Amino acid sequence: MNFLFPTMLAGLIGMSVPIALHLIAKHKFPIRDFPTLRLLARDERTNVFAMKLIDPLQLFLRLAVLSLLVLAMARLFSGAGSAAAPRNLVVVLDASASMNQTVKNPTGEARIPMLELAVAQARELLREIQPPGQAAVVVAGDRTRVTSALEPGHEAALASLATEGSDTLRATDGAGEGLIHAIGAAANLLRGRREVKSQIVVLTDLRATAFSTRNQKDLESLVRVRSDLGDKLDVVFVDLADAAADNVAITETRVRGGRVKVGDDAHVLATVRNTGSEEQTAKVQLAVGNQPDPNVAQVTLEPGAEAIVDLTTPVNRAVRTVADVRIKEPDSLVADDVSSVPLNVSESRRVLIVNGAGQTAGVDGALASLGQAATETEAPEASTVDGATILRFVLNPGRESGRASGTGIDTTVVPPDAIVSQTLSKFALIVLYDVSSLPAQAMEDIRTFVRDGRSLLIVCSGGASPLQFNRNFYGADPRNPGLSPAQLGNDRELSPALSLTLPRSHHPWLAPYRDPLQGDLSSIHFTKVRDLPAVNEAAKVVLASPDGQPLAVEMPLGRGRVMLLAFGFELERGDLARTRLFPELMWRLVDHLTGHLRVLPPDSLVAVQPAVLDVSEPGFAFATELELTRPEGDPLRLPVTERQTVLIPPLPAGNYQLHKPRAAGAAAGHTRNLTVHLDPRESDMTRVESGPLAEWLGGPVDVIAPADTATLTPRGSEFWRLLVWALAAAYVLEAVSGFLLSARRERLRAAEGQA
Amino acid sequence: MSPPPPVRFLDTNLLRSIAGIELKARLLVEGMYASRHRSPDYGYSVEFVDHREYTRGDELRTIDWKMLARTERYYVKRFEMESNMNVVCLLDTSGSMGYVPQDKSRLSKLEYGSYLAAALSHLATHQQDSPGLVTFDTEMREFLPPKQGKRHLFAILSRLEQLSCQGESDLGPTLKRIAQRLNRRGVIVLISDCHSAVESVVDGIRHLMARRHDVVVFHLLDADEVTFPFQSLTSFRDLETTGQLMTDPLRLRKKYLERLAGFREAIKSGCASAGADYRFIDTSEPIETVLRDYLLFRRQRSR
Repeated sequence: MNFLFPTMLAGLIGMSVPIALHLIAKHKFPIRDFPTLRLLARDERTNVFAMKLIDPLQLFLRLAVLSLLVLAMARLFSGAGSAAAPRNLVVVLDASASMNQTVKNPTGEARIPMLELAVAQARELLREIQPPGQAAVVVAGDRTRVTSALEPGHEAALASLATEGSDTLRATDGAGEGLIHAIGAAANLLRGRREVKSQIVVLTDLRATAFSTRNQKDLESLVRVRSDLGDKLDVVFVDLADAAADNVAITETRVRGGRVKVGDDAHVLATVRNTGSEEQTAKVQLAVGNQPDPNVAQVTLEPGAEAIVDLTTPVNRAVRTVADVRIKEPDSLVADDVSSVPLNVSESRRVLIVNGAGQTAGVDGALASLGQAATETEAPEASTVDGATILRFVLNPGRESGRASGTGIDTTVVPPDAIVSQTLSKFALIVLYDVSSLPAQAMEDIRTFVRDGRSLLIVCSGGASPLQFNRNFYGADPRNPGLSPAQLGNDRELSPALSLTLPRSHHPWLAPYRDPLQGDLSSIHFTKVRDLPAVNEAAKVVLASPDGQPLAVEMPLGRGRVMLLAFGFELERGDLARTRLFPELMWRLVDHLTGHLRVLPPDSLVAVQPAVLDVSEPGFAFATELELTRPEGDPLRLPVTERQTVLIPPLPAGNYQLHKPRAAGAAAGHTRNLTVHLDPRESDMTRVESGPLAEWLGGPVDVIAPADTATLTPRGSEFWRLLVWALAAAYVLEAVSGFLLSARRERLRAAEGQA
Repeated sequence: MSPPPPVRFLDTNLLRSIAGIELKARLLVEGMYASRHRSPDYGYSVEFVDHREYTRGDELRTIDWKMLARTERYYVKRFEMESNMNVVCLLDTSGSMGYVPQDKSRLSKLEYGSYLAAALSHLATHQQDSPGLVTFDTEMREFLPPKQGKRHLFAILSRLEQLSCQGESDLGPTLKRIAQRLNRRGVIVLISDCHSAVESVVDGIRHLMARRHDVVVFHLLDADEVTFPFQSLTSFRDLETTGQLMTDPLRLRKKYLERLAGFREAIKSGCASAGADYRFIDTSEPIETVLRDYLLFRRQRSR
């Protein structure tokens, strides 16, 4: 025998009220004159203050009514019997990505997703809950959701599980908020429910990643509820996973170099990891734009080992697409067998080189000179190859040498007078090489070109006239600066040659060279450089010699920027053009000036994790909001912030497209691909044992198999029907006896009143 | 032959409603004159009783000459003496006699006793006897010596109308004092609830009997005293001593009735041992019945 609400037994104190009434309150007595008192006087007097029970039958009935009422409220309960005893059950469904792995169907041959098995188990558990037992369902997906609050019976809880196609009952692609958070939420539902046994049954695969997020607030909440309910709270984990899980996952996919240019090979690097417990051989295949590559890479991995697989495919046109990497033979967890990454094959950047020397050497001659310079170790002789030609060659050597691959930089070399005939808007960068003066119209066009967001590179070698240059390009007034960020001085011959050292600046152009392994700038020597006697206030020195001589100065102008180099590329002015660093330096410089050097946040996002994307690219210019097209559902409208960013909400795994809002049937316009991949943590099949669980959850936990869930049902029954009937009978009897006694008392009182 | 008319008793409420105790008494004794008592003495009167053989000393005029002629023996005729007998009612007016019964239709013991005394006085007056009245509690309160005549009867009745109950009772000494006041022998009718010590009561009666009074004890008790019908917890207050007793009547009823029966038996046996007539009266009995039964009893006994 037990009580579901033992605190209600305090109501038995109320039984003292009728006892007191029957012992004390009824001691009202008449005073009667009587002649034969001496015949009574010899007996004991009745002490009116002494406890004397009157109307014992009525008192008994009243006590019976009270005691039955208290027993009914205290919910008399017997542990004996085969009936299911009432209990409060909160089912916590682990809906993390790992619950998508397939397990053996206990009722059939086919394998089913583990979440499906969990839902079936939850339904079985919930069906046993009958009022006054209460049930609730908490789903630990991308967020922890209480899909059914604690309510008597199982109807509401089952209804929350019966919703077909519900997003809530779909395994998330991320790690979510973790099971600890969900258990904390479940414990909060049970707070103060001391009346019956409470159980938190967690249907999970017991992957360690589900418990990696342990919020102190959740743990404290659980400990508080544990101390509140004591042994009336059980935390049970139902282990749904198979004993040994085989799984090979693609945990990361990226494009080498981040950007692919037309004509290059796209190198997609996939990190493949064996998260299972046995050695696995995975066949990895690349597909670009849903076109699978016939080549399949095969890799054999020990348990826990990972390998980076380089999947290569040529790209011949500028395109923005998605590269999918897929493991051909699916394992238990299919969701991590595929991973996508945006593959952006960019267009060529067009660079206009204005050669102020007015001399353009043939490509062949330049190539021969450069080839000779690159192979000979002794100091080169003076060359007739001008710096602009060297620059043109180095910006796209493949194309200049007639090969298919290239740097994606198209160059056009024109003399200063011919600039007015060029459509400047086609170019991303203008290079003024040794130009001292330009036509006025050209000056104005270049100024507009820069202010509109493009860049200007001024290279001052030995041919530029300081007087003309400063008059045309330099303005000391910071409110109305000229195109040049610095005043040009005379040509200075250096002896010994000026060597560059590690720059102190953190300019992105030179940032990689802070690591000597990326390139040793000290190997570059200059024998002639131009003095820069004054630098504009708005300008910043990017590169300087060890003695402080500015060698490169950059200045913003409007929405664009201007960079001035105080050294030329001619072979007689130094060995820059001979070093291996020269091409990469120039490419990075062009990337920097054309906006391609900016480090953008990766467009490959982790599922169910919000992200902020930089959308300052020209294609999204003037957009106040962007549209995110999803694989399923309507597009999402995302507002563009003042900093040209958009907040990407938590998304399930899949491929998305970000573009400007457009009407139906309108041209596609600029589109940016986003891939959202499974949280790589969910591929980790490492299981957690009950020991750490008990430690984390602040008390004992049980880990049982799905077949043992029947043991969770406490046995016993309540006697409420019997109690209610007995209560009703006692109440009726009490009322009848009360009426009869009252009538008798009235009759006596009337008789005594007459007396 | 028509059946005898049913005995009709006077309703106590009717009795109360009748103004004047004289009328009440007359109504009570109506029809009872035939049962009037005889004198215990023989004397000269017209009422022949029997014959007795002549003995020396008898007056010659009492010789029945006719019997001498028929039997040749001397017999004398005996006649009932028409005496002027004293009939004195001793009415207890102690506090206990004023008990008001639960049933309001019943008479209190004092009322009952008063009517009884009035009826007896009325009978005595019509019988040429001399009624008297003594009221007492611990002391003798009223003393109306026996006299003949209606004026005296009215005086008795007037006193009876004005009676009230008070004080305690102590029958033994009181009866002794009364006995000293009653010089001439007669019939003493003691109307009391006898709420005194039994020995004292019997002692008083013996004193009266010693003075050769014919003592009749009407032991009056109310029906409530006889049946003790109380149910609920009650604080009983003594009518004489004003002492109180809180008790549960139901619990004590059996013991009470046993003690009451013992008390009655003691009084009765005391009276018997003293030679007095004892008649227990429950006030729920009609007075006429009591009177009629008693007069019949007296008449039968005199035969």
